[in-house]
This record gives sequence, structure tokens and C-alpha cells, in this order.
Amino acid sequence: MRAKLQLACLAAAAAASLATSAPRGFRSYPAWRPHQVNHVVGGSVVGVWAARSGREGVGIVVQVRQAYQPGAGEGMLVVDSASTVLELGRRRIRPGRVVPGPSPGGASRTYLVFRFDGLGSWNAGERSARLRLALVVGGAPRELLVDLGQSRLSAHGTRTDPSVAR
Amino acid sequence: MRTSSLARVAAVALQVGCLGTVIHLDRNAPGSAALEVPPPDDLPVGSAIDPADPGERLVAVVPELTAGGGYWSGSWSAASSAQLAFFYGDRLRSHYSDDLPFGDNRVAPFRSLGAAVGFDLLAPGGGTRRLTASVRIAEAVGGAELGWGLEPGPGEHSFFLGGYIAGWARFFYVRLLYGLGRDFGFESGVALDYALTWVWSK
Repeated sequence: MRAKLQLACLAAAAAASLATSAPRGFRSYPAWRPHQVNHVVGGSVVGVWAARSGREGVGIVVQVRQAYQPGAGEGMLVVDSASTVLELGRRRIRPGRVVPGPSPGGASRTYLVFRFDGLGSWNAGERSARLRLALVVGGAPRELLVDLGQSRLSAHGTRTDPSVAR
Repeated sequence: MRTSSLARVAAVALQVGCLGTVIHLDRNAPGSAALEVPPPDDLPVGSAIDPADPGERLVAVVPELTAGGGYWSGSWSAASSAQLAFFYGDRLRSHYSDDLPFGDNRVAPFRSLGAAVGFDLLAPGGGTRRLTASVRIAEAVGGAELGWGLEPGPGEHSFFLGGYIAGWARFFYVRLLYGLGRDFGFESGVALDYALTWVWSK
């Protein structure tokens, strides 16, 4: 009797599970990330991070919160995108496209697109790069070095809600 | 282990559906970034936008036992077989096994090339049990198979070529078959398999 009951329960559970949604997996993609996002240059705060990373390259946002005030000691800070370079292995990559961005909360943003073979770079084991961000502060050229690493934030995983699966 | 215990283990294995191990390879890991599209204005400082999924490729080794029945050559009968299949395929979405609307959590590439060797434990239609070897090509729910069968007793062998349409719901399967020079057939039953899969991004 007990065995029959167990079998009946198991059969019921098996039948019920047919309708359940299978778990959805998601791929954790590697991305370029700066070791440090915010930097202080000439009194201004410069935020640098990779907003887009992938097999086509990397798109970097530079956000500047000015310390400049007319009559104050520090001069205005300007991003010199034409002289900015991303060093990746032996390559020196210049931004192929520069998009002036919005000014959220008084800060100005610039989006720099560095195109390169991101797939080949990953497969070749390149995991670090350096951004030589050219700046002009009060008319004088400055350079901000930003080290970036390429890694996954997490392991591959499983999501049970298909609406959030990537 | 007593027979009843074995039956319970098998029942639990069926309960969880098809079992398997997936090994993720690091090759081609980056996604597709739409670099030309500037990030949204309100993107928080330091945060990034997920790249798009390029899909994935996989190779798998799948030992499988099937038990069921069907309609072949004008009569209904039971059938059972054991096979070892290999395939190389791709999926439209990474880590999804259900690109197909009625898919489930079994290893089911959207399109694949494969090969299999098998043996009839119970031959369909009460015929002679055969050893078979075949190559397969499949896309979505359909596929074609070219194979060679050997009947060990009489030592006779033959080639076969056919197509099929198949669907699964967990461990249940349904298959419509057409063999060149033969009739249409239908089979359905339970498939218990263990898929060892290597998967990497396209």
C-alpha cells in the first residue's frame, strides 16, 4: 500500500513538473572596467568608465565635474579626445568616434569609441589596458592614466524568470 | 540494490528530466556591443550596458535509452533502443535550450550535425533487432538521417535514409518518421539521456 502511495505521489509530481518552466541560463560576458572610476585633476572630478564592452571594442564615458569658477585659482578642464590613446598590448588605439554627451547634474560627459578586435583580444588573453586620457586644464596639457582590466563580473548562471534572462 | 530501489532511482531521474553536464569554454566570450550607440543620458557613473547575445555553439556526447511504442509498417508495437549520439550544433540564444516554442531543458541545438550508433533492445514491429550507425542533420524540429543497419543474427545489412519531425516535453518524446521506400511511422515514449556538452559563444 505504502509503495503504491509513493508511486502515485511521484507520478503526480512528475506530471505536475511537465508544466513548469525550465530554468533559463544566462551568459556572463567579460567587460572592461577601470581599476578606479573617479579621479581628481586640477580640483575637478573626472569619472572614467567603460559603458560598452564587446567584440567590437570598448566605449568609454568621461564625465567631468568642473571645479572651475571664473576668478578662482584652478582653470577649466577640457577633454582632448584627439590626443587620447588606449594602449592595448602593443597597439595604440585612438578614439574613432567622439560623442559629446549630456550634462547630468552639472557634469559634462564625452563618449569615446575605441574600435578594435575585442574577440581576438580576449582569445589572445589580453586582460589589461591603459587609457591615456589627454586633458587641458587652464590651458595647460595634462594626462590622466586610467588602468583597465577585462574580466567577468560573475560566473554563468541560471535565472528562473525568463523575463530577466539575457 | 533491490529492484524497487532501482525503480525509484530511475523514477527520480525521470522526474528531473534529462540529466547532463555543461562545460563552458572561454573562447569568444565577449558579447556584441553596439558601440556606435551612445549610452543613455541617465546611465549611473561606473555602470555598463550589457552586450547583446551572439548565440552559442556546442558539441555534445549523449548516451540515451528510449522506451515506447509506435506505428510502423501498418501495425502498432512497442520499441526500445540504446544509442550513443554525438553532435555539433548551435543555439540562437546562449544557455537557452528552448529556442523552439515547445522546447524544454534537454540539449536541443537549433541546428546540428551529428552521428549516432545504436542498438534495438526491442525492435519495432517485432522485427529483428539491429545495430545501427547513422549521420544526421537537423534544424528546428526537423531532420534527416542516413544510416546503416546490421542484423547480427542473419548478418544482413541495409542502408536507410529518412526524415523526421520530433518534439519533446521533458523526458517524453514524439517523432514522426518517413523512411525512403518505406511508409510513414510514428513513435512516442520516454527518453532518458545524459548529455555531456561543451559550449562556447559564437
